[in-house]
Amino acid sequence: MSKLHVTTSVNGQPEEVLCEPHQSLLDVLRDELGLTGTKEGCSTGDCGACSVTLDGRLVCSCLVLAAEAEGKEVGTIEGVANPDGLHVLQQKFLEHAALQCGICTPGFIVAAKVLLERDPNPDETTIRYWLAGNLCRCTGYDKIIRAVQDAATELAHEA
Amino acid sequence: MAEAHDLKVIGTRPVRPDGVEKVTGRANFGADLHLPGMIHGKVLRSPYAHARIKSVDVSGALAMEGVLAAVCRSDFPEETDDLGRNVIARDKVLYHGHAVAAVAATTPLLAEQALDAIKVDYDVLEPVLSIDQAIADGATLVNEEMHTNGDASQPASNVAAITKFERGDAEKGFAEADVVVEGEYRVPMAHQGYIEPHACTATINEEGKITVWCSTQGHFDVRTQTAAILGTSISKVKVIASEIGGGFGGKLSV
Ligand code: FES
Ligand code: FES
Repeated sequence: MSKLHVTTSVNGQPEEVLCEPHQSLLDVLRDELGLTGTKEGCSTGDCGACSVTLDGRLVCSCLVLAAEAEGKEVGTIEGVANPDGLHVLQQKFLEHAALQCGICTPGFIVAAKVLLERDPNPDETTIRYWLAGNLCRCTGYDKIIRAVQDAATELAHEA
Repeated sequence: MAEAHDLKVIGTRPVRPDGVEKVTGRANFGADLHLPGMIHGKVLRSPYAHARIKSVDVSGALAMEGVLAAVCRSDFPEETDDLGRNVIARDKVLYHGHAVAAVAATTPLLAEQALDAIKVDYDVLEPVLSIDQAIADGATLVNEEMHTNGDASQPASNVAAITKFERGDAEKGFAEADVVVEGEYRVPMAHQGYIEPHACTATINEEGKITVWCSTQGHFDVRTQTAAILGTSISKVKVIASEIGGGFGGKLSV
């Protein structure tokens, strides 16, 4: 089985990878590009720990073949903070103690960021529905929801 | 009473010390370590809930290109305990999914394919699927080496342990009570449901020194257990705990 040559962009950086046709985007990010911030919880699309963006759309990277990233822009947790510091969502997750073990956290932050880009002022129900594809076993979700609400408020003030 | 401003911890909202690492994706969990030349392991598991293993032949897997090792019960010390038997089945498989053999290959896919090349000959036995079936008189014995509460003077049994919590004279209490409510309560089997699957990376050098990086709730336990299962001394095993993506009691042993 010969490898596929995939040209893509990850967090704004051009990347070229050789990957097996069956390899998922998750595996290529983690194993070939060393971006282990994206987590594998189930590899069946159930937990959301592997959430990334593909041309701005939220996807489970375990359900995307790496070859599908050809010519697309991939966004991962490693691209969320900027050189000046943490993203507001990251800051709010810390302030609200919205994480315990932290294995789900990259997925939640990536997913919540996409939500706030589409809907800067979501109500609680909207946030809960949007994050329904992300499972957390530790926090009980409440603090995560509050962190996202607070981040939305702060972003609105900044704007 | 101390004034609030005198308290160093109570009343403050500290940010957890591992927080920044975790919100940026930098924290390293069990599967996040990649060593140069790393190979990948896969485990062959029993499709039966109860069976005697007549033979295991890993030669087909070993003959495949890219497969570097294949192991089964004969590669482990004969003297073992429950934990050792759980890690790799010996004479019998005791549950559906019991590990029977394992391979290491250059890629996860090759390792997966190599599992199909392992031949296991089973003598399928009657499964014991409920508590009632397990405790009935003359029940089929699953683990023939298990004795209730470890009491080897008694015959082997499916009952691992009987635990009683007692205080005072219960009979007298019942006799004097106005109302006695009796009931039988059963709790289902539950999995801890942590989001991070078990993961481990290990190296062994020419002197038999082993380093294990893994997601665990007790790295000293993992060290002791790893040494016992492999038949080596704990001074040869070093265990480094990664961040842990939830455990809830499910990551206490190997
Ligand atoms: S690892 Fe992709 S959804 Fe769980
Ligand atoms: S913080 Fe542990 S799973 Fe969410």
